[in-house]
Amino acid sequence: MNAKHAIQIYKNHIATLNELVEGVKEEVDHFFKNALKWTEATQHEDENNQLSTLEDQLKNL
Amino acid sequence: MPERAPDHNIEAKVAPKQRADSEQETREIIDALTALDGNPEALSARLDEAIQTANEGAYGEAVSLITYGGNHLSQMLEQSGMDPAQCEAIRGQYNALVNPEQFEGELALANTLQQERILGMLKTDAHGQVDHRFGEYNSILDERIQLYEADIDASKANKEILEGELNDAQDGLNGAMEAFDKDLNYGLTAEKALTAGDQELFAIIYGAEFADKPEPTTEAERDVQRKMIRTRRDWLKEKIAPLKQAEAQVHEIQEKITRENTNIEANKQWIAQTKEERREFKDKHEEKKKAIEDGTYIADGKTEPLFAAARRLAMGGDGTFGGHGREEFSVIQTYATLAGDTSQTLLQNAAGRKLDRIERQLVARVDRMDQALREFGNEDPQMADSYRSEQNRLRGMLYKINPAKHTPPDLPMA
Repeated sequence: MNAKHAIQIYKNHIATLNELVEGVKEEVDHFFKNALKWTEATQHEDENNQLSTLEDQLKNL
Repeated sequence: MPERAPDHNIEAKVAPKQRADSEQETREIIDALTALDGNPEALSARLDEAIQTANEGAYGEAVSLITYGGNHLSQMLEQSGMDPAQCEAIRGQYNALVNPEQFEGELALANTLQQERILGMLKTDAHGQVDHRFGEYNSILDERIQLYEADIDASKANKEILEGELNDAQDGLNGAMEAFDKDLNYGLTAEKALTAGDQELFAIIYGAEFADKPEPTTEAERDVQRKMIRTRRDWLKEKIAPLKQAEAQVHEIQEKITRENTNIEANKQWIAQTKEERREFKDKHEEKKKAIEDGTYIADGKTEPLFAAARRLAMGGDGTFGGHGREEFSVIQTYATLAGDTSQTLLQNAAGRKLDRIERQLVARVDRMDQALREFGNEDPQMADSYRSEQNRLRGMLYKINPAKHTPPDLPMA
């Protein structure tokens, strides 16, 4: 093996590692995007519930 | 009303600094590897070290991202006002999908693939080196044979010229011999005339006072006789000189022709010897090529088992080629189970993306094993069995991930 080979091996390995780390970032990021939608949906649901409760209360007045 | 969740863009917060450090480090390592060119052992050791460091760095970065994301998620969930049980479920999904063990599995798989790739590179490298040496030496031998053949041609051309010269010289010699014969006959005739007592002729030649005395008795007569003998000798020398010269010339040309013949024969022998050497070298070359195919790494004048070289040059890992990645497959199985068992969209999507990636990796791995089996299968039955068994297991995984796309694995032997 000469230096040219060693450098190529190293570069390829680094590229693979970067890909793996990017995968983790992508995973975390994607999870957040979805989790955010969930919490926003929950917020809307809470708001809707509050509105329904308010409407019920108003109807019962 | 709950506060808005924190910013979810993790990459922008974590990646840039580490990436910059990594680029600097890569440049330094490339310089270090370049400086070690020509020293394969030190180069391999440095490469092992660099890959190990890079693995540790990537693992650290992944753990940092996962930890940061986990904390960030907890913070977001706390602020979301969601039901604690629901929050816990989401945290559980996060931990299942994004965790250091899973990354470690992917890293192990990458290292295994790296080993296989290095193995291929080693073979290519070894073949390249022996082919180069073979080509180089073969061209030296070819050149040598061409020189011998050129020398034979030169000798043949010389011979042709010399043979022409020899003919001329032979003609010259024949002429000289003929002339000498004539001269000799003349001389003999003269002698006969003398011995016959042709006193008149004797007197004409040597003087009247000796006409009656053919046998010298006085000193003066003996002196005359010595002169006569010298005269005869000089005459013979004079007449024989062209003959001797013509003979010498013929002899000289014949010797030259003999030398050219010897040179032609010697060149022929050298050509035969060189061709034999070339045949032997070709046999050795083929032996080397076969050794490489059989798993021997031959490069830079050193020989070692190809798999040992691959292990040494790759990771210096656990010493078992293909031994990495067991954990990875258990992680894959977990995902496959999760994807099949849970109905939650979030988990399904994440697992689906993960499975797509894993599916691609598994297919590539099965293909690589096919290639390895084609290359080494016949040479190493034990390894071939282990590869086939592993392939079957991988096909089982693929079938579990996507039954519509992949064929089921073989049934295990009873």
